[in-house]
Amino acid sequence: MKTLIAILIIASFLQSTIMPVDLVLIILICRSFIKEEDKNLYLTFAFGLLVAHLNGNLIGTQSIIYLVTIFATHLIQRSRFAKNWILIIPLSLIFFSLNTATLSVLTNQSIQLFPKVVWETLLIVPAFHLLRIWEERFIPKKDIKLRV
Amino acid sequence: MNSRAIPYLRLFFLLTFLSVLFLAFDSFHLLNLPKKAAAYLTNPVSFRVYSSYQTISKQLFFIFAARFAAQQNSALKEQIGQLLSENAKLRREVSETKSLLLQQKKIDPRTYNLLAARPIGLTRYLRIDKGSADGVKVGQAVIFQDSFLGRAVEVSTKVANVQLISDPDSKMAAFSQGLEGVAKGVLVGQFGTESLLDKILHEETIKAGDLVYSEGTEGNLPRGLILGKVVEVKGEENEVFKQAKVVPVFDIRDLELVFVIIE
Repeated sequence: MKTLIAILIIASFLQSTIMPVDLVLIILICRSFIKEEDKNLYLTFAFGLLVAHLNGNLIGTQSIIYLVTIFATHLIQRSRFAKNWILIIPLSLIFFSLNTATLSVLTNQSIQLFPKVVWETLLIVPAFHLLRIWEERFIPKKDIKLRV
Repeated sequence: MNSRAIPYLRLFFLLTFLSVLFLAFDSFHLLNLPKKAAAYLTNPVSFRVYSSYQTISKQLFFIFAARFAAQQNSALKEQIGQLLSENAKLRREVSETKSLLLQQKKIDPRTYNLLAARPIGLTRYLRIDKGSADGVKVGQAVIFQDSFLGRAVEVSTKVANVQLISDPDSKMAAFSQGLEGVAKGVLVGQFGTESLLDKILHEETIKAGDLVYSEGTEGNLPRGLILGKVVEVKGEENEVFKQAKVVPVFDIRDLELVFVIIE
């Protein structure tokens, strides 16, 4: 979890300074798609606040958008279609488009989806696989018990 | 795994409510103080990240620019090479055109059918780039302006060898003309670049500086073409004939275009 938080902090600073893609949302969607747990919502809330602060938006704006997105991901993740990882691509395309459009409306900017949304959708594929490998191989699972 | 129909619904509403609360507080500028405090932490980090990115991108841009400049330099060098080649070609063409114009002033093209040829080699013979395919035949005279250079002795399809006046096998009737009179003789080639005007009678006047002309008795060679200039007169009083050293007016190596008298 500490590593994930560190990565999210770095991603927050990167996306608010040099990269015009929502790295935090990419990571959070991937994690929510891989693992359904309450920590995702806490992380979403906290990093929504941080990203809003770093971007100079009203505090809470991004948290609401992120929370809705992650909650929707949790719901979709429970469906049987979610067994195929390719579902994350159209899902993320819709989520990123809605995220960008909502944020543009809230900050009184013109809606410009391309090429930002395309880049974000393309980035989600390697991010998803990296995070899945990390979660499966490097995070110890508590529910494994040896029978004696 | 959670067995509820909608997982973490309460948590979701709670966090959303908190977010709305934050949004409301911030809308009324109630979060200015904590935001200001947080900015003391986040702004230097953002600045550091941004300046690092600027430095890295400048370095990367330099590499890209250097690579681009190298490619451009290579392309420009190639372009310069092409331009130089084109320039040389144009200069040669201008020079040839000038030679042609000058030639037409000296020898009337209505009287003589001239064929322009480029010298392509000079050993014992002068090699030109026109041959039998262009109408060159053995014995035809090769001139430049109003000077006789030699005659074609070997002709292949596209190349002909011209025997120069200075060739030891060259022999032709000639006369010299100066202010004091005319001297007739036979111009014989010598080794090197000189020729010798031989068989000049003692009573005939010849001096250094006189020009030597063709007599026009050999085939289709016209009379009055310049063969060279007298540089030295030799001959004892008791000998039958006098001799004179003759050098060509032009240096063959300087010529870019010569003309073959076809008819």
